[in-house]
Amino acid sequence: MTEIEFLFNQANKVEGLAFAGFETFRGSPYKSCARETGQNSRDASIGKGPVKVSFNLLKLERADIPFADRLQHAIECCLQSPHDEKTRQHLERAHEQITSPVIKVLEISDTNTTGLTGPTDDPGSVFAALVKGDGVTNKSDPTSAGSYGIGKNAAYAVSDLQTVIYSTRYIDKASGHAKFAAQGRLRLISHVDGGQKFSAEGYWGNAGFNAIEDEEEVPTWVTRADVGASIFSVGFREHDDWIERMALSLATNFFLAIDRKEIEFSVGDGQFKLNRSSLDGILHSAELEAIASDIDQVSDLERARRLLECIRSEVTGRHDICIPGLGNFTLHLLVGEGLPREVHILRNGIYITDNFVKFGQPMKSFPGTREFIAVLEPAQGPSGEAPSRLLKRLENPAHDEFEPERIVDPRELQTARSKIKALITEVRRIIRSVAKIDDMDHSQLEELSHLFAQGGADENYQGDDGERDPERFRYGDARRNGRSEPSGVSGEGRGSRGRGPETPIRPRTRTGSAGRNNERTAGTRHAIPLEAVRSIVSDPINGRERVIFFTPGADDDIELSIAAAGLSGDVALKIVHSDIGTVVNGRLRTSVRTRQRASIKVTFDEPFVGPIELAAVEVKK
Amino acid sequence: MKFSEETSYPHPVLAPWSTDISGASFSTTITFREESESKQVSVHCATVLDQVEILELIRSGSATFGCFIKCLDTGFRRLQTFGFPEGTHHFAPGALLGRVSIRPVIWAADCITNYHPKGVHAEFGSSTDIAVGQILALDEEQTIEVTRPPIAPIESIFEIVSSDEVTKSSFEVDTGADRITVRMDKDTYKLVQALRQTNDVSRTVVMNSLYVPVVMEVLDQVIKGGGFEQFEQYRWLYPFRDRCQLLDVDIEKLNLLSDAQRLLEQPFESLHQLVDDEVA
Repeated sequence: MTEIEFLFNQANKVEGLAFAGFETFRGSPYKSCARETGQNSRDASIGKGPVKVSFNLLKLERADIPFADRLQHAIECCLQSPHDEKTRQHLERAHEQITSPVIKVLEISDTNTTGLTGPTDDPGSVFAALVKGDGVTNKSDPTSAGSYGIGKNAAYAVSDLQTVIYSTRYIDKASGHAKFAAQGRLRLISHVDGGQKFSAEGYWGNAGFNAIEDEEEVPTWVTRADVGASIFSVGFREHDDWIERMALSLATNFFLAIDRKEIEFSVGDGQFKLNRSSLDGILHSAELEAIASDIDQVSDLERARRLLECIRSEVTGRHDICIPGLGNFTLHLLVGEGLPREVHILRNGIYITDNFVKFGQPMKSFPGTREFIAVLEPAQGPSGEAPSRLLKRLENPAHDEFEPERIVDPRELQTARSKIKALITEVRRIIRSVAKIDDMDHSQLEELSHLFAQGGADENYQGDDGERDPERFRYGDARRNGRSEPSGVSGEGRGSRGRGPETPIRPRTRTGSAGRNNERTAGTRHAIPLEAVRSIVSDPINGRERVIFFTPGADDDIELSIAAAGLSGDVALKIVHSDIGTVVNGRLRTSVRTRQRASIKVTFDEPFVGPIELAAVEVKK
Repeated sequence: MKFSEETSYPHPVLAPWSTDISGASFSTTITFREESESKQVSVHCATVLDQVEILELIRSGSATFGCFIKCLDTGFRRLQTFGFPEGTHHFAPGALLGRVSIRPVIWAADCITNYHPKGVHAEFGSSTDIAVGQILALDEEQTIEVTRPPIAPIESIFEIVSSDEVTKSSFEVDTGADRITVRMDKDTYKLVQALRQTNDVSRTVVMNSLYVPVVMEVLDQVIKGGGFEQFEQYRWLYPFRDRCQLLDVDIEKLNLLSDAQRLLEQPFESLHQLVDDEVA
C-alpha cells in the first residue's frame, strides 16, 4: 500500500517554503527546469543514438492521483501552522490545485538513457541520490554536466504542490533484467498533524520511506515501458507560454548537443521538436523570437544562432590547446566582419558562459584584433575528460559562471588557477595570431576607392543587396538547370517521369546501345519514350520481384531493359521472368500501345530493392 | 551519388517532374556569396515545402534537408545538410570554384514505416517502409558560377604611410605622387589601421576624423595652386576631378568643409545612423 509519509520533527524545527534548493530556480522556473532536467538526461546517455527527452503536460483526474487526499490533508495542516503572508498565498494555491477535479502534471521523460539505476535502497545508487540525496550528485560520470545535485530541484520550481515523482526502468546490474522503481518527494512546511510534529519533507512510496518496485502499485501514468527515467512535476504551474519558454531554453542551451545528435527534445506534445533537422527552423522561428523578446532573452537566441554558425562554418579554424598536466581543449575561431569579439565556453555540448571573470578574466577586451567569435570547449574524446572535470568543479550551481573558490583545497585551487590562466593565455595568443590587425607601414585606403574611381562615383559598387563592398563580396542566385528531356527526345531510350498527359511524346531514332550492359546493337533502333515510370518492390523480403508501370509513347514491339541506378553509374539488372511478353537475354520483349498505361511484373535474377531506370527500344521486325 | 530525374524509386518521391505525389511541391531558392580574396563561398538555401507528411518527418528528425554539391574544378562532392526551411553553409576557402551544381534533396534520417504520404499515386499501393538514406524529395539541380566575372580593378587614389618624420599625433597630406599620401607617425598609423579594421563605428569615425580633413586639404591645395592643372602628371587627379564634376563641386566657389563632406557622401550621417542603431 503506497502512502505519503512525512519525516518526524522531533527538534521542532521551523521549516518554511523557501528551501534553498528550490529558490535557486524560482526566478526562471521553466528555463531552469528545461535546462536542468535536459542536462540530467544528457548525462545519463547510453551512447547509442541521441538521448530523447519529452516534456508533456498531463491533465489527470483527481482520482488518478493516489495520494491526493493525504496531500490535501497535509496542506490543510500546513495552513494551520504559523506562517507568513507569502507562505499562506503559496499554500492556498497548492490547496486550490489539489482540490481541483483535474490535476496538472508535467511529465519529463527520457529514453536512450540508463534510467535511474538502483538498487533503490543503496545510498550510492543514482536513484537514491536523485530521490533522497541533498547536495549530492546523481551522476556516475565525473565529466557529466551536473555538479552538485542541485539541478534536480528545478522540477519542484514548476510545481505548485512542490511535489515530484520519479519513475524509472533500469537494467539491474546483478540480474541483468529490467527493473521498475518509483518514488515521490514533496516539501511543504513543518506542521502538526494529530498532535504529532512533522517536518516539511515527505515521501510518496511504500511504507518506511521505501521506493515502489511493483508497477501494479502505481497508476498507469507513472509506469514506464522502456528503460529510462520519468519525472512528474505534480501540480504543474501552467503558464500560457511554458512550452515556448522551455523550447527557448533548450534551443539556446543545448544547440550544440542537438546539432551533434547527442540529444533531441519534444516539448508540449510535439509542438516543438528539437533535433538536428528542425534546429535551424526553431532557432529562427517567429514563435521563439516573440517569446525571447517578451522575456528579454533575445540575446540568448542570437548568441545560439551565432555560435552554431561558428561551429558549423568551414571557415572556422579549429585550434587544439594542450594544457600540460590537464589535457586538451578545442577553440573554434571564426574571424569575420560584424562578429562580436566574444569567446563562449561550452561543456558536453551545453552552453555555460562567456567569461572567466572570477579568474580576473572578463574576456571582454581583445585590443588589436579583427572582429571574431569563438567557442571554447574541452576536446571531444579522452584528452578532454580532465579539462571537462575541472570545468565541472568550477561551475556554479546555475551553470553560468566558473568560480575558483569552489575548490576548497588550497593546493588544488592554486593548480586550477594556474591551469585556467594558462588556458586563457593560450586562447588570447591564438586569437591575437589569427585575428590580428594587419601591421604594415603603408596601406591603400580601399574604403575610398568607390568614391574616386575612374569613370564616376556610383558605378559598379553596389551589391545586389545594397551592401557597399563590391570588391570583397559578390552575391548571386543559382541558375536552374534545364530539365532533362524525356527519353524520346533525348534519344537515350530512358524513362522519363511525369510530363503532363497532354504533352506529345516524340520518338527519336537512336543508334547503338539499347541497354546499360554495354552490349552494342548493330544498326539503327528507335528509342521508345516512357512516361511516368514507377516501380514497387512487390516482395521486399525476397527482393527479386518488381512491378513496373509506365506509359509508352508509341505503338510498338519493344525491348525493355532495366538498370539499377548506382552511386555513380547504372548497372544492368537481368530479368529472368515476366508476367507478360518474353524474356530475351535478360530483357523483356513485349508489345505496347501509345498512351496506354502498362503494368508488368518482372523477376530479377538477384535481389535488388533500390532505384531503377528503364529504357525501351523498338524491336526490329 | 547519382540523382537523376529519370530514376524510378521503389517508393513515392516528391519532385517537380514527378507525379508520384500530387497536390504538393518542394522548391528551393539558392543564393550564394563569394568572398573574392579568399575564394570562400557561402550558399544559402530557402525551401518551400507543403507536403505535410514530409514536413512532419523533418520536424521530428526522421528526415533531413540538404543539397548534393558537386564541383568539377575542385573535385568536391558532398551531401551537405542545410538548415530547414532556411540555412546557410560556409564552405572552406577554395572548396568551390567555377561551376558548382547543387541538387536539393530530402532524405530519410530514420527508418520510416508505413510511409503513405497524402496525394500518393495509387500505383504505390497502401504503404511502404523507407530505409535510412532513401530519397523522399528532390528539386531540380541548380548551378552557381563561383568564378568572379572580371570586375575592373578599382585602385584607391589614397594611401596612408607610417613615417618617423611626422610630428606625433598629427598627419600630413602629400599630393605630389600618383596617390594622395597621408603621412603620420607610427602610433597614429597603428591607431588608424586598428580603427579601420575594428568595426563599422570605428571605420565611420576614421572617415570623419581623417578623410574629411584630408579631402579638405587636397581641395585647398587645388585652390592655392590655381586649379587641377598643376597635378596633371599624377594619376590621382583624374578620378578626383571626375568626382568633383559629378557632384558639381565648383573649384572656383569652394566651401572646403561642406564640399569635402559631399565628396565623401556625408560621412557624419553614417555615424549618426550607427549611433542610433547602437542606442536602439
